[in-house]
Amino acid sequence: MKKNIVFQFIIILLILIFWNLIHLGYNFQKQNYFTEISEIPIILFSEEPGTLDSLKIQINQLNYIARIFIQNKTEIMEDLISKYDLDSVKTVLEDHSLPNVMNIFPDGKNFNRVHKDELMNIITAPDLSFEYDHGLWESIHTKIDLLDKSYRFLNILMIIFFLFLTVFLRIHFEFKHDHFWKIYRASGGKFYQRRKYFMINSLILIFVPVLLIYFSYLLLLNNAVLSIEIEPVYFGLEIVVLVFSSIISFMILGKRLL
Amino acid sequence: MLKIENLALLIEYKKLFTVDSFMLADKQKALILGNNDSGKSLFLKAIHGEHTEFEGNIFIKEKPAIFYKKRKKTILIENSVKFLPKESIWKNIVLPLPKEKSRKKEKIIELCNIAGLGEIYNSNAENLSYSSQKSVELIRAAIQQPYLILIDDLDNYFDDLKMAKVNEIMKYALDNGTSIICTSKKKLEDFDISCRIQNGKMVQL
Repeated sequence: MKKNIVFQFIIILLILIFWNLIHLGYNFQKQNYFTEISEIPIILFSEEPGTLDSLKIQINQLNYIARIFIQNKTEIMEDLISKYDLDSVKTVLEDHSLPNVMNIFPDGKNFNRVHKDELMNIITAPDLSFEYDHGLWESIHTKIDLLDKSYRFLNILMIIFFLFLTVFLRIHFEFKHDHFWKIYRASGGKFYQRRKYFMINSLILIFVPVLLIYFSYLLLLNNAVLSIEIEPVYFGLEIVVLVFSSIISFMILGKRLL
Repeated sequence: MLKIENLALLIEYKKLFTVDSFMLADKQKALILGNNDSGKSLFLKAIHGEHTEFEGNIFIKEKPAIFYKKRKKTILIENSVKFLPKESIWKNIVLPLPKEKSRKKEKIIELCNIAGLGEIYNSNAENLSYSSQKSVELIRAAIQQPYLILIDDLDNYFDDLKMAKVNEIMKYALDNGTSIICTSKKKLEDFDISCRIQNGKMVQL
């Protein structure tokens, strides 16, 4: 009987590892997309440095902005000269009127459509002009939506598969032990012993694999082996599925467990 | 210990036989004699709580049989062997025991020696003879010290030589406060009470 529990334990552990790898993969990919969004700057141009300074104070208060920096005309010129080795044409550049520039980098995680529209409203003014790659932002968000949908679908699939497999294994092994328990009862064994064993085994199969994976995950996280986090609610979901599986098995087995 | 009053044993609403009164004290051994299909096995099952189609009362330690439905204090040894052939003889004996205490271990070994299983109790039970398997069942029942051991068709399993050994195992059970009821088709010796089922009635001999 112990062999069967160990076997079920290993199967559950392997499925949970796979399931948590899906969580990690999803979070990793989503993080990449957020980083891509964070790296697309919103560039504001203004002839008046004061306009950008007052705007910076206003935008800094928004929780979906990661960082802002302003470059004045001189800084831009020096930047251009050093970047493109334009020392020879320095005087030409000085004759040109360059605008002041403000670079806004959003926090990719929070920079959704509502926030983007809000920011665009703030920076749309007659004395300001800006540049932003809306097409790239759209394309990344389409990918995020697809990733979310796939992740939801995979989770539903995993729940169904996990439930089916764990209930099947549980019932299969209980049926296999019918003869043992029949002999046990007939030889004078306790009445509710089979139910008691079922409960103990259920507790082992519900909590031990999930906790083992959870603590391994924490260990990897604390030792910086893992940099991506899984929300604890997903470990809770795994426990709920296993509890549900035990309840279904219990109901199917019914009077056999007396 | 066991008190039966005005019992009418039924099978599919048909009366099989009646028992006006039957009393069995602690540490007593009773034999129920009867031919095939007389209802001996069903009588044991009624006491065991497995057959509930009867009129009258069956009390074990002054409580009705239904009281023991989920807390069995009787062990029924039926004709069919209740055995795990792939397990050892030892495992088969200790199967229903919650814990193996050293005193009990010693007693099991002693009873195995009496039954002639002393040398082989750690070996696989698969190749045991039918009578040895029944001896194992009896040791398993005796070691649990229930209120009552019910043995169906005792004469089927053992010859005279083995019966002497079985009597010793039964003596151990009786000494520990257990009562025993056996059924048989022929008269056997060393029983405190003997009854016969005849003409639809169980009478004391």
